[in-house]
Amino acid sequence: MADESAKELTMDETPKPKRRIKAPFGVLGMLVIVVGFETYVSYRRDFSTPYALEWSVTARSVKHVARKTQIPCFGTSLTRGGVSPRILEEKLGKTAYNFALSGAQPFASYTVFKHALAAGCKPEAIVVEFKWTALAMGYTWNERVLPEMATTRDFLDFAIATSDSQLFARLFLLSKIPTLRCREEIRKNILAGLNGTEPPRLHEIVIMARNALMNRGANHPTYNPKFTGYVDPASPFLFEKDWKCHPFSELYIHKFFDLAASLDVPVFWILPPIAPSTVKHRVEIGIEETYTQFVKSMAAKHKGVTVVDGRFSEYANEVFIDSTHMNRDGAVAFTTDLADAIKRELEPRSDTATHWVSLPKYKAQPNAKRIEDMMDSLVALANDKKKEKEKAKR
Amino acid sequence: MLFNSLPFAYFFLILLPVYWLLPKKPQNWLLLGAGYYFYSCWNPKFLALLILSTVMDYACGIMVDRIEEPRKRKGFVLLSMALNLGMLGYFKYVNFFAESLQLALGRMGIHVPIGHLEIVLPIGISFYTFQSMSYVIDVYRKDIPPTKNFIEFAAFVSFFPHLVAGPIMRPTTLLPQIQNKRKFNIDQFYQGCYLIFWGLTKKVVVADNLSPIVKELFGRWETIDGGLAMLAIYAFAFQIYCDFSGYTDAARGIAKCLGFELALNFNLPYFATSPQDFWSRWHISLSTWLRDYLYIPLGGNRGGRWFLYRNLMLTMIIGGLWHGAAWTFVVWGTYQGVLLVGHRMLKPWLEKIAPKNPADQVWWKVACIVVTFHLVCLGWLFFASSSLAQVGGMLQAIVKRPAIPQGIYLAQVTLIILPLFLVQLAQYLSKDLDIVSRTPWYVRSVFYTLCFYAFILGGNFQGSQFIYFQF
Repeated sequence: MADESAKELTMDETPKPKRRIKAPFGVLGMLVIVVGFETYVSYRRDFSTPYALEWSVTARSVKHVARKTQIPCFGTSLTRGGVSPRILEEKLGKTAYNFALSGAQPFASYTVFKHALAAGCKPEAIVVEFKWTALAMGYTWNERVLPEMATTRDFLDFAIATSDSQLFARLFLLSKIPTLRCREEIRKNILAGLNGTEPPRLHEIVIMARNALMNRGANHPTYNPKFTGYVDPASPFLFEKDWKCHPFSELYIHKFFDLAASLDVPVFWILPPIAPSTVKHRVEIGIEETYTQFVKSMAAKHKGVTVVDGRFSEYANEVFIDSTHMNRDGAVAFTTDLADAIKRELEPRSDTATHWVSLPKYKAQPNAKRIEDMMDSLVALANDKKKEKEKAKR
Repeated sequence: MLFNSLPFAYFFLILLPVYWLLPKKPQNWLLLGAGYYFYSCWNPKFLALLILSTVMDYACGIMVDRIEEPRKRKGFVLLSMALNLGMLGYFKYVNFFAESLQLALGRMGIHVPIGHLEIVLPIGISFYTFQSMSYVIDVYRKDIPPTKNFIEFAAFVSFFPHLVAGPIMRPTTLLPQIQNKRKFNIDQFYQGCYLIFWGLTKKVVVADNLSPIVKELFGRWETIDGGLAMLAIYAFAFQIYCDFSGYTDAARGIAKCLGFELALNFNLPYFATSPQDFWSRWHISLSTWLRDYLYIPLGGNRGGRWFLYRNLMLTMIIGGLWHGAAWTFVVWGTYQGVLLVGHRMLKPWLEKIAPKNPADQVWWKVACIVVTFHLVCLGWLFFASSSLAQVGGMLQAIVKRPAIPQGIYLAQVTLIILPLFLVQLAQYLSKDLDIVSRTPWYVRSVFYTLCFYAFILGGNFQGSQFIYFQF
């Protein structure tokens, strides 16, 4: 034993060649600086666009308000500007919130819906809309803004569904490096700084944030006198002759409805009004019929889906800011009719078949002005600024 | 699969740990597989050419070593050269020569209809044929013994970091590295990572941002003034340098991460003080290859002044033609030959008028650098132009319509080039290419951060190809 321990001791004492592992201090230092700077950038609103900010603000609001929301609304800019949760609340007596995202594809709407449920949302009815332009686009359409809202797990689902590992890497990097995500905006800010001008669209971001706060997630545009109803018949967005839903979007529409069905919640798939000349031309060239058939075939595959069709309700040109987006007056009129339809459809009935509700003809709502539009928000912000200045003077 | 793309990042991130977990023999198998996979990502059909070249040169190498009779030995070298140059000639030059012949005959009044063949140029063919061929020549010269192990030889030819755009590695330096056991070295690994990072920054930030400016200005060469023509040439000079040296840096970095050392291909070429100096700093692996396998066999500087000039001209014209099958490249090569010959002729006179005073020597050196840079830039005009008419047009604009370039172009080009120039100036003044890695860690941190943000904010992520891929 003694010998053995002596042997061990001797072995321990044998000098070993020193293995010095050098730490890459230069890289570590860089990482510290980068992490600090990225954290700073992630809190800067002016390194963003109204479009991107809308997505990140919505993602944050999901966490905070979803739990108290009985009627969540999902969709694209058509819903964000065209559905007023405050009107829904007044008419239905249930809490509503607008979680719609401009340009959102079904994957994005499905993700927000999933996040809302995870945050404790117990919906009693769901309003959803899928714009045909977003449906036709490939799955990279939302790449810039998805990281503002989705998580790494969502990216993984996305990558698996698309079998595109590069997309996962891109989204992951965009989500973890805010500078990369906002690089176009930062470049514009730097240029603006060099030219001594105001950073682009910063004022729009502030107005948008206030408007969304006042309208429970919705952003209601102001009357646009420049829009007189004229549309370019050659516009590929409005009149894509070979319109077809992208298979990936189709998959996520099904997933959305399946998720709603698993909760046994009725879904109201809205087809918002379109400017009269636009819908007329779409009917003439046959796209509207193609789209109607698509909606019908999709809705028929799911229980509890009611299609609320406002496309042929002949909304006046004055309630549109362009050929598809409504202003505050249009939104109030549409949401009023939508609320009536929801009310009717929520009444107990025996059949489970898909319902198709065509909304009545447009009727202007006299009390629309109580809903704050973007111009009201701008004025309110200016007044707040004025008051602050006066306060500071005193 | 480009180094500046996500698929390559995946490929390398998977390959690297697996590679270091394996012992030497399977490591070479893995390298071979990776090389073939990397190459077939462009066009799997052309993998056959790479394999053909490899098999033939492996066999020729063995035969050259086994046979004693000089004539037969030479025969196998010629066979290898015929195969490699035949492949290169067919894929790269057949249309060029046919069209040139047709044009020449047409001028003599003979109209011969020669059809244009629809040939796709296999990527990297100019690089791997030269490398593979030089192995047989080295065995013939008894500079290296032939390798008996086919996998090692095939891994040497298809070593993916430098397979498609160099540096052209000599069998004497790369083959022993493949034959010997590699050991993971953390310092080498860090250096490799830095080189990848720096190379990609040069490519994505400098070259790819200069590319649209160059394209636009060269595209409307008939309407631009002299100032913009000059700026276009300067921008191209830095675009091609950063594109190619960026690729080589990344290639060297990747090789270092795998435990290999590839040759330095660029050594601050725009700080050259003479055309001769320029060619010892620009595409070093090609110029030394041409020196050892063309210029010296032609006679080198033996046989008198005029033979030397002839050999220089021939080497540079062939070097020009190596870059591409077009008359502009031939003219570019000829121009480089004229520069080298002219410099040789003027050298005694230049040495005589060079100042002896150390302070004046500095200014003399600066003047030499500026003059050489502009001579090189003039060469780039031939290189970048699509026709000789364009060369003439742009030169005419510089001479007849001189002007200060428009502010927006000048600001953009300066903003892109200046940071790189400052780094290179520091490297030049310190006579140390690794100056960054020798600075204190906090300086390095700031440098890396600046590069990182230049990459993130200024990078062009369109995944554009490297210019030298077409050669």
